[in-house]
Amino acid sequence: MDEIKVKKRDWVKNAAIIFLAVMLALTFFSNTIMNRSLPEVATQAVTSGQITSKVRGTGTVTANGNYTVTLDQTREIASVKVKVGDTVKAGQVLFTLSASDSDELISAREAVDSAGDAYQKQLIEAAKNSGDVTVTRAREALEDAKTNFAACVYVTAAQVAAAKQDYNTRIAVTNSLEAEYNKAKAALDNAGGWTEPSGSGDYSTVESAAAALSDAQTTLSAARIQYNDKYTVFENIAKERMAGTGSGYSLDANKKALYEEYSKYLDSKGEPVSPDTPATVEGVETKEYGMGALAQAYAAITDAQAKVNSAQNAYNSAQTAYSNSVSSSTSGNYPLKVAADKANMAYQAAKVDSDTAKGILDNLTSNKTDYDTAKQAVYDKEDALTTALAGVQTSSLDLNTAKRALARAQEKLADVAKGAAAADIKAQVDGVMKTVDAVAGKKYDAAATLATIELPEQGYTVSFSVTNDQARKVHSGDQAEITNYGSDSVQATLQSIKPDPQNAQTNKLLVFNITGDVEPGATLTISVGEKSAQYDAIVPNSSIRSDANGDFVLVVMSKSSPLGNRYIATRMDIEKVASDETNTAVSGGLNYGDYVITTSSKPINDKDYVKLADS
Amino acid sequence: MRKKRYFGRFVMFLLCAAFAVAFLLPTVLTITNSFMTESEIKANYGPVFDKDSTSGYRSGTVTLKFIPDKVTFSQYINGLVRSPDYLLKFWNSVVLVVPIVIFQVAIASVAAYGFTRWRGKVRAFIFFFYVILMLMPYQVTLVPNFLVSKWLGILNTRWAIVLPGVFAPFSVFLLTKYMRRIPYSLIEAAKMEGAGEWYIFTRICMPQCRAATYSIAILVFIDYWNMVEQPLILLNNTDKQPLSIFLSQINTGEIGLAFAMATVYMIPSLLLFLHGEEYLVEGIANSGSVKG
Repeated sequence: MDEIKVKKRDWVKNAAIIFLAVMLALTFFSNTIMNRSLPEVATQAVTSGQITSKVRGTGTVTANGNYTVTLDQTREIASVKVKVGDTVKAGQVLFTLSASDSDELISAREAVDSAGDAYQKQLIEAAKNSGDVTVTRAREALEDAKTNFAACVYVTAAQVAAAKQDYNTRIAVTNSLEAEYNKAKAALDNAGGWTEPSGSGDYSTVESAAAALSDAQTTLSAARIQYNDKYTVFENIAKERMAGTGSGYSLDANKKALYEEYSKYLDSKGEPVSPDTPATVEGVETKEYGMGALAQAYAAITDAQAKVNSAQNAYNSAQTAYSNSVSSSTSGNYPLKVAADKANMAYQAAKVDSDTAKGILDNLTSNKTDYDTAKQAVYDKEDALTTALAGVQTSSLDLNTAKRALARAQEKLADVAKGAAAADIKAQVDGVMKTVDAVAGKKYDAAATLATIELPEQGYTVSFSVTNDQARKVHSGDQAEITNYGSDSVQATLQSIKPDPQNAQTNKLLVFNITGDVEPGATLTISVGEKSAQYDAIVPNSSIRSDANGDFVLVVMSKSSPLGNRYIATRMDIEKVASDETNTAVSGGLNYGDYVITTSSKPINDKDYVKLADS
Repeated sequence: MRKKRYFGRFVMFLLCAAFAVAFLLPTVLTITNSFMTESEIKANYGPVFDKDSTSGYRSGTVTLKFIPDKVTFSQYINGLVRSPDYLLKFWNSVVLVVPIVIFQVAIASVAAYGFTRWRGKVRAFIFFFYVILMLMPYQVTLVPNFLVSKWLGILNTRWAIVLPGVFAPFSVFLLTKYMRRIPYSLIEAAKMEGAGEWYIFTRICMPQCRAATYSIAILVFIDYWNMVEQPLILLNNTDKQPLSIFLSQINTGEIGLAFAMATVYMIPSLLLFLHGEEYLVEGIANSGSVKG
């Protein structure tokens, strides 16, 4: 048991020794291993000294003024008389042109032809649309329309509506009567219909009874008329007599009895005799008569009365006979047939009325339609007359326009013809040929650049792009130094500072005015800027870094540890005071003698451990 | 009857197994996670250590994961090979703890012998004072320690940790209790044979207390190997702070590295325990069972 414990302790002891040995070995080599992985940096000490804040750049000499040689018309170049670099004088021939017509001349001729054709067309159109004929016809048509309109009957919409209402009412009545007729006819049909009896059957008896009744009624009516006429005569005579004596009129006992008898008759009759009934011939004649006539009239009344009574009796008998015949007739449908015939007659009469109303309505509607059509025709003819008048005026305007267009085309043709006559192109200014773009045998459009002539008397410029920071260090009017040109007579002056069109946000274009003996196209390196100044902290440009928080440098800080010195990159914010191509004077926490990191083998950040490069 | 007893044992076994798993879980998690990649660890414990949500996937919940997707030693290589910082901190721990253990055991042995050999009211008062000091939590004496260290001019030096550690009362108390179980007749016999106090202390008393001394050394080593408060307060210089400070401050970024270094950091304690396991049990057991 103890042996096992001892073995265990030995094992543990060995393990502990190995563990510590491994830890020691790792510790021994730790710096070596770590330094292999650290970024290696190159440093440079912060110094003091002078900074000359110069801006340098290179540009090409170009003339300030250029003259561009162009063509007035599309022509073909026959030959080129100059080459680049030639000095030319005003009036010197630069190019000769071929004899062919220019495109502009051809186009101008075609334009004149086209304008002439258009003018001729307008002349024809104007003749065709002669104002008198067209307008006169339109006016005559308008007069005819007015005449037709005046002949129309004016019918209002209310009249048509009333006629339509009347027609509708009659149609309704007709339909109602037709329904009644159909109903009576249906009743007759349901009862078995009406069959004409044959021979002298019952129906002939009834018919004869009905005819007798009708005759009796006619006779009775005629008797009553006769009686009324007789009584009227009698009455008129009596009234005449009263009016003629002026002392009153009285009837004798017979007459009084007659009168009483007459009164009774009137009472029994129940049919008053109108006093306004015009007097008959007999009544007029009785004016001359006296009582004799009155007596005769009375007698006539009596006779008439008797006839009335007789006719009444005959009528009563006929009525009785008719009733008896009907009641005893075997054909009971006769009343239904009579009712149906009556309903049919009423229906036919109503139908005639409705047809009449429809005729009236159609007539009114037709009249109104004719009236409206004629009225619209008048309006249309008025519009046609207005259009005809306008057409005559428009035709006149078009003619004038075409005439003017023709005149302009002719003027342009004359101008083009003058230019087309030129056989060569001459220099307009003294200068040096900068470019010769045209070649012989090729046709060029109008305004195409054939050549460019530099104008030396306007001077030369050189321009180059710099950053905005660099541009802030220089000012217009600064005298610049030319570093790569042999001649000392050449001088450069900063003329203007303007945004660089290629990169307007970040760059500026410095334009220098060049004077002296300089060749156009030469490349000049120009230096311009402030004079030298003394600064306490100067660092290499390569050590300055930037981020969103501004410019900074990474300073190497040394840290002593039990395992040796450790170097840490520490951020230090700075502000640029002045700079040249290699160094920058800065302000901030930097001190003389601090080491700033200029380059590193890997990207490094603030607080990163770094390894110094072997020097 | 036998079946009932077996069932009771089985239940107890299950309970003990459950507690064992609960206690071992953090240690196992530390060891297994030390072999994971940093991205896998961040994915598992995203919400806990999510300081930089822009880099990589973050899990919505904490996932306790024991099996790595891909076993890697990159965390160990980063901590032990590529950077000397953690090795330096490891040796800082060693430099702090080893003197404390050695001198505390030495001083405690002498003190305990004194408390054992001489008796009286003064001894009793001093021993009582030791016991009172031992009962006080460390946080109570932290401020006086800081003030005294500053007065002595040892603040921000390793002496500020080592000196209070050397004179810790717990070892004296434990060793005193253990020495009192040595029969006094043995010492009397030695004296009669003409042995001096030093001889008695070194040749008779200390060999008897080997188990207690070993157990004190283990306990003190573990105690100071894991210390956090003392270096935080008394050692401002991070180059002198032990690795336990680094582990306690791991909450951002280097979680995998912390797992790896924690695993490395537990090795010395583990080895020391394995080496003196029997002494530790024996020493603690005998110290408590002896009357003073």
